[in-house]
Amino acid sequence: MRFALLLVLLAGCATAKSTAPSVERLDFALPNTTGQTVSNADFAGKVVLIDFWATWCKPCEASFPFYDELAKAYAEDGFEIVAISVDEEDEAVARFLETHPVSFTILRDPEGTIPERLDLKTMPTAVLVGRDGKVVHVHEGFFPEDEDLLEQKIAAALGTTPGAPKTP
Amino acid sequence: MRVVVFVIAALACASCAEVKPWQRGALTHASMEPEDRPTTLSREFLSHVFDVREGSKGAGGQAGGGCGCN
Repeated sequence: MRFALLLVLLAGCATAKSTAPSVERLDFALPNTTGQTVSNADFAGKVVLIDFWATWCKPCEASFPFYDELAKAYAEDGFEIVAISVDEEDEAVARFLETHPVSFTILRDPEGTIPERLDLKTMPTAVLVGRDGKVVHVHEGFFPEDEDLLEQKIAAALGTTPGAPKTP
Repeated sequence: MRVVVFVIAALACASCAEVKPWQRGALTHASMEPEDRPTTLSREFLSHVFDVREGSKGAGGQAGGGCGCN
């Protein structure tokens, strides 16, 4: 009996296994780095990669050059990247963007309201939204070997062929 | 006896506070890095102290910088 009780307690204390958030749509209305509110409605009809990142997150930093290449390579096909920073301090984001300039949209969510709603398990997490506004793929973490898969998912959502240059 | 065991176990579990992945910025602050402290203790020893204090071990050599990313 005691053994069974211990097993029950241990099971209760165990951390749940990480699973990608299950979400059909991702609505947001957040300020950009100049304070203007940007919402998902601003990207209607486009394929959007919504990336949750932070300046202190090394894999997020590693993903930025690749995402910048993707944003430029598929811009004419109707592709946008929206990177939502969960940093608490605006200054940290400004400093980071000075040394890591990117062409895509940067939004701020210092309270973590959207990650809280999605119950994100990993930083970074990228959510790919199709032209119809429905989520087609959720990608947790970032490793260089993820680049091909991400590009294939984006190209498929755009209805085009992968071909963007890779990071060295 | 069973009640006592249950209460102790429940209290032990309650002492754990979850830090959400997007809240880990404070954990990556420079002051949390053993190397930044003026000390003659080795990194291995400080790492052991950290492991004991946090009740966890490993993930110190990855490029994640302590944020628990990826």
